[in-house]
Amino acid sequence: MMPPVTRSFRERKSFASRKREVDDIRMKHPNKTPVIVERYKHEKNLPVLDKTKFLVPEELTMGQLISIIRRRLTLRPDQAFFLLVNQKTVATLTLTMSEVYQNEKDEDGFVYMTYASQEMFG
Amino acid sequence: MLNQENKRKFNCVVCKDRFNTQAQLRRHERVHAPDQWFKCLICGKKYATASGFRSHNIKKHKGHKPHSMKPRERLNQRSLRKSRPHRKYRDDSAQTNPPSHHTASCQTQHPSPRQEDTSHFSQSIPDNTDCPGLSESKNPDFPTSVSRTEIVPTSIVKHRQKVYSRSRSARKQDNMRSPGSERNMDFPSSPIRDGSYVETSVSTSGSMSPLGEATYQVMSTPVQYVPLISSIDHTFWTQLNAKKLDELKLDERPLPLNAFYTNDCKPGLPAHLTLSYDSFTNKPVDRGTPYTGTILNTNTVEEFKAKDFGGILKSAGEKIWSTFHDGSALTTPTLLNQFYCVCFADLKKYKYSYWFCYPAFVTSTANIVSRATLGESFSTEQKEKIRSLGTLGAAFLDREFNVIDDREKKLGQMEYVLMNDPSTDSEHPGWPLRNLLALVSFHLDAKRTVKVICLRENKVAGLQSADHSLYLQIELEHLSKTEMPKVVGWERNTKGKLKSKFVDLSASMDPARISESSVNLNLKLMRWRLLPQLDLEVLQKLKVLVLGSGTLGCNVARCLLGWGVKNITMLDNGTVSYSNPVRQSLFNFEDCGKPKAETASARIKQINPSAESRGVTLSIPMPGHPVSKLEEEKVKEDITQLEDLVESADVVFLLTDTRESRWLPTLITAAKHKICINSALGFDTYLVMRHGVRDESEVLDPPQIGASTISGTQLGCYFCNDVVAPSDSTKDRTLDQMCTVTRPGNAFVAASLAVELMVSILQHPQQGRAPATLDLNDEKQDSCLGRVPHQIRGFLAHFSSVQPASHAFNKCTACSSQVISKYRENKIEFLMEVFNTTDYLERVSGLADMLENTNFDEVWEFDSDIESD
Repeated sequence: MMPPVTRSFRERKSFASRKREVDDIRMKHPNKTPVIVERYKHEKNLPVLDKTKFLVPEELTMGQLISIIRRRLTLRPDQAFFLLVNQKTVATLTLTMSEVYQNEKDEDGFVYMTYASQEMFG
Repeated sequence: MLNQENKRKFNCVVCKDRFNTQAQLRRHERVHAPDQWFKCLICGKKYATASGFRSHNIKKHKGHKPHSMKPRERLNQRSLRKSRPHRKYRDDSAQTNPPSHHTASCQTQHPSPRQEDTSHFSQSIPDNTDCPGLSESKNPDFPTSVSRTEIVPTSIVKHRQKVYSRSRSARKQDNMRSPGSERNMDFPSSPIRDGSYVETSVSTSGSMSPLGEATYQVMSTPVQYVPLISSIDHTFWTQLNAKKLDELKLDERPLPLNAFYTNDCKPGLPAHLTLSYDSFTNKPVDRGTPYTGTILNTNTVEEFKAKDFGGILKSAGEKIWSTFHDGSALTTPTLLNQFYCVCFADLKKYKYSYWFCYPAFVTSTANIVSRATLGESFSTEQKEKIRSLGTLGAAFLDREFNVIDDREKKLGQMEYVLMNDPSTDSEHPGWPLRNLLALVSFHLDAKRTVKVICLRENKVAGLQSADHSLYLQIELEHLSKTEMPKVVGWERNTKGKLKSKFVDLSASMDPARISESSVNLNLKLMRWRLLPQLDLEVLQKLKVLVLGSGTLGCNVARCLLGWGVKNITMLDNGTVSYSNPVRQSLFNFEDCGKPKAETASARIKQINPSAESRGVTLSIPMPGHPVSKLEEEKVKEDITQLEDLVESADVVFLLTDTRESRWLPTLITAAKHKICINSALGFDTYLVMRHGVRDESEVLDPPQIGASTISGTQLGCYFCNDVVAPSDSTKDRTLDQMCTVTRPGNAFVAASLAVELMVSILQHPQQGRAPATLDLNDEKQDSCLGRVPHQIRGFLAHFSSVQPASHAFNKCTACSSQVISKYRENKIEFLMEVFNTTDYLERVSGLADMLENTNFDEVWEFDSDIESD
């Protein structure tokens, strides 16, 4: 059975509604970072995350965020993956969420992250 | 078109054959005159037509041509006829050419002694020759008619008749042919082919003047000079190649050259000027008599052809003329020995076109009034004295054979002109005398007869002797000081024409050496225009260790070869399987079943014989793959061997096919701070990255927020992106999850990017510590090849790639300081613990602590919007 073709968060929501959503949530939780975590479109090995929108405490490091995502995906320890932030950088794991937010937030206020399995063949 | 009546109206009187044209008839008539046939002097075959003779030469005696003088003479005759078209029928006897006019040089390539008679020479640019400056070519080298008186001793006459009688009957009737023409000395177009001159002569004895037999010849005949022939050693061309590729590049600046000639050539050898590898050095050659010159190497063959040869000759002549005026030529007469070479070197095919000129002045009459040999003219002591002066090359001597070095007294006291003579001709001096006599004429006020010693050496019965040297008395007239005389001197090619010479060295080169220099050729060409600052030496000396000889390993090795990297060590633990050859570019079907590493390295050496490649079959120990007691010794050995291999390498390519096998090499390269290029494949994604290089003193700083570059010492490794230690990834996996199942082109893309990344790193002044920039527009951190990214992550699904850079993770399981220091402290124990205990690495690195301190509930999820959409 073909998996349903899921559209990305950006495709589903207009810029205005995304921006409104961020403004609302930042108002309510000023020390939390709105993050969108999605699976890389062509990823074949890793499961899809059940949720895409997250509010992450500012002091959480990227390393911790990754372990939380791993837990949510229920990955085995031998399934390595990487997070592509803002479609172009691989975040350093020692950075905190607030630092990442500062550098990589999108115009709409979210930080977009894509996960894909780490290449390992040779 | 010929109409019916005109057809075949020329009849042969002998056989009644009919021909359409007179030319055809004339060609046919030769069939009935066997004495005029072209005879091959090597095998004796005869041909009625020149074309038949020529094709025989080409087919049967390649490399020997032209070996018979007969066709040459016929050609000469023809050219004579051309130059005087209205004298169709010449009475042979009307040709008053003295027999000696074509001397040996007629048969040696081209050095027919050139007549001093200047009416034939003009240096104006000719209108119709394909090479400019060659109006000499219009004129036959020998005069058609010279009136002169010659009193020849009877012994010589007898000798001539003797030789004459030995010549073929056909020649008896032909005054054109001189006794000298019996000497058929044949020199290959260039002595390079076999490194030495070869005399394929059918030479008759007595060809040289019988020494001691004759006494003085009293006469008045214009001096003729045996021209020099360039004799170029192939080391000269090799040197020129290197010079052009490495130093000159596109520069067309003329270079100084040093050549020399000797005066002890074997009789019959042409007067030659020798050039070899040391011609490019600045200090004059210490052998023979120096000849200084200039080489102009053009960039294209078109430029070569378009050179203003007439102008070159003239300006070269002016250089010599200036030494006349400033008097330096009087003190150092060898300053007159100058040459100029225009050359085009096809570096790719090892073919060279070149043309030498030996500028010499055409002066007013210089007549030989008497000719003798040194041996019969001087006493033994005098001869010794003269010989000892040979080292000077050329000199003006007084009555007591003292060198005159005071300029004022020069002409008054000068008795002899001494010159080392490259010519071996019994009658004619060599080319260098021409300028020497011009210099003397220049300083003369009135007609004067000078005594010229053309010093020649050879070994007679084991003793050096100069007895056969020419001793000439030459009558000179004074030369105008104001106007520079005409200059001649372009060398004739192997066909005796005033055109450039050509040599093809490709056949004489060792294929392995050609391949070696050709690999470098394409690289060195980069430095001409595109990347003058490219450092190729670093690549040539580079030692590379390739871990994994699979799809990536093979392609990386091939690409390294392309960059001229020679020292490549291949490592793998497997054998070539039947599925491999189509994707792994170093293997063939026949290789299946052989060990991968050794086969790959053997193939590397096949591709480039100068490569030093080694194959090592070794299993890299891996975390999550416990080591049993039995295996322990073997694993320890493997670890030590791997460490040694990394230690001896400059760059390590990490191209194995699991995550866990990349751990130990990552750790070792980090601990030994080597450049490590890691490349890995997904199905349609690839990763190419360089690991950060930092030694013990370089600490990992906390990442700077908003910084646009990350120093090379702070960059992360393959394991810095995740929070799990490597573990057995082959357990509980299906076959498609274990094998390298990727889009086939993926490996080619990734492998070439990996090598290009390595080259970019090495070209960067900071090499492995080159900073990675996050700003795509920032060019400040570039090497000469451009960006030096940290990672290249490619996605074949949209044919795109991103170049992220990330800081090293302070809890990395491979490159963090706590892991490296543990490894340094007690290598084997630590590694065994890692291999055997699952969570040991996570505890050492601090990952376990981090996970413990993570509150997993802190991350809230929003309400899902899928339903609300």
